[in-house]
Amino acid sequence: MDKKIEFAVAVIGAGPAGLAAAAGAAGAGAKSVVVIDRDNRAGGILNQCIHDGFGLHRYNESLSGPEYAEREKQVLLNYETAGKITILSETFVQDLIPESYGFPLAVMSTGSFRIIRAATVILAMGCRERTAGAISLPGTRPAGILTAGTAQRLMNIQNINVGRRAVIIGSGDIGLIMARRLTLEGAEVAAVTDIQPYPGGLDRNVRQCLHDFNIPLLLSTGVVKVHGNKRVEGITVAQLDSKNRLNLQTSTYIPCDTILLSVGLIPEHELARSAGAALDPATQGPVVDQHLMTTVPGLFACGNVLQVHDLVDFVSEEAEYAGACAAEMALNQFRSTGRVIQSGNTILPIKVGSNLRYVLPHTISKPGRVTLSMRVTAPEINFRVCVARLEKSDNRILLTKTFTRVSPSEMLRFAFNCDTVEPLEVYGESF
Amino acid sequence: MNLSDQEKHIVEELTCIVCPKSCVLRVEKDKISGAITAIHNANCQRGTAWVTQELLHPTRSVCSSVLVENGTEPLTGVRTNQPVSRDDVFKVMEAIKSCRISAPIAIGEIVLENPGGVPCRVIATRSVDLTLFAAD
Repeated sequence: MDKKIEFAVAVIGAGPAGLAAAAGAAGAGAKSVVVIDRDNRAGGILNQCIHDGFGLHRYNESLSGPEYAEREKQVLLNYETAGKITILSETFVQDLIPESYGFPLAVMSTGSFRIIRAATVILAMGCRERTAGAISLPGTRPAGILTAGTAQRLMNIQNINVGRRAVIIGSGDIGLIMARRLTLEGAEVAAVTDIQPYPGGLDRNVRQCLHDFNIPLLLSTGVVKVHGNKRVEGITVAQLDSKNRLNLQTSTYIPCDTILLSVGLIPEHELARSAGAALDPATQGPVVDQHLMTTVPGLFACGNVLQVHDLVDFVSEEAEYAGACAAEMALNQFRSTGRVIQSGNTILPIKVGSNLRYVLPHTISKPGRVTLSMRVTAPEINFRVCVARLEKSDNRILLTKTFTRVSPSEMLRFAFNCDTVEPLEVYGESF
Repeated sequence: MNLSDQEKHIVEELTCIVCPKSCVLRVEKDKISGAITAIHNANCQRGTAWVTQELLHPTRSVCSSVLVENGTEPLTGVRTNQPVSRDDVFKVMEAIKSCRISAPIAIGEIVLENPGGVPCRVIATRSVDLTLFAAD
């Protein structure tokens, strides 16, 4: 069997993470990078996000999704012309099994199946949406129940109208954006509901997508039942009591022909799992060290497959770094030894402390600059995040970051100069 | 503040979007005239300017899609090149809805000038190639 390594770095996915990861790898000196994408057009979910607000940090401009994707693709173009990056579109990675010598990727495209071998692999597959089944939506299953992202693709790319009167379950950003989109297209949005007592999306989206059009936002509200046989006819919702049980005395029937679900995202972690990478139950993405390498040596992850981001600008930043780290490993360690191993240093875990849902990276293997990302468990005012030695002592706090307001809808992200080789804890507290 | 003062004012809370600090500004408005009488918690002039504009003359970018003829895809994305008055959003939308353009479309191409009489341009945000197959 031919065991020639064709590519220094293989990137799976050509969304914002994959594009920036490939650019990062090529920029760090990798001369052969392959990007494998199942769509016919690179850009991933950005192509259907025709609203603006992308790129405020990275380009100092408010771009629409396709424009942001185009900027990122322009960066790759020079590398493509120079033969350093190859994009395989309409191609699907079927399997990924680490071997002692690089990674064979089983890839399928129209009329062909082959094995590609790469020294290192970057997972950049993003997320999929939680569905009606995933949240055990009560009631019937007629036509007219869609995830918000599916509705977005139908309306913005395929020119298919999804309905005339909609109720949106979940107040995440995609749900809010779709409430505005439907309204502008002449449909009516009867309500947006959320089981939480606070909105899931950013404040500006609540204001610009709901308040502008007088769309009611029903918080602490759950679904009692979906009505309709062939097509959705309506939905009954009710308020949740303090113990999160439906208070049926508050049941309200809302007639509608469409129900959109914006109830969370799940990382597409199947390939990470089949490669044997450990997963974090909190993010449902892979466990990574500070170089964004998973527990499988040579396998990296970035973007929404690693953690759900609030802003694409941070996806690009994270992915560029993962690309550079993967290239560095392919060029140095792999080329000289023919294998990739976990760094020789002791791997120190970062403990997730109070008020935080998760912290990335999960481990630190050597001192240096580390970008920490995290989300809080509940909205707080006057909040601080502390990075501390795990061992209780007087001088255990190494870094404190304060925030006027924090919310689970926003990712917190800051740099930490790690000069210790002791186990760490990151925790949050109000002050 | 006595009771009659409370009756005269309405208080609105807005999260400032000028910078990532996201200050929550408390704005008091006269109930009858709608005039701003006080702004609290603004830590900088830019925040004050933003909240004043947002409450008195709010502007919005309009993003939508336009039908494409002879294209590899049926739609292109479009947006206004600058924010327009919030009151004009539906005027712009009406012009966008009745518009059809022919492929090929390049990003940044001007699709409409002064849509519905509103001073702005509507530009394409997604490129669409000419299809190799004739329609019908």
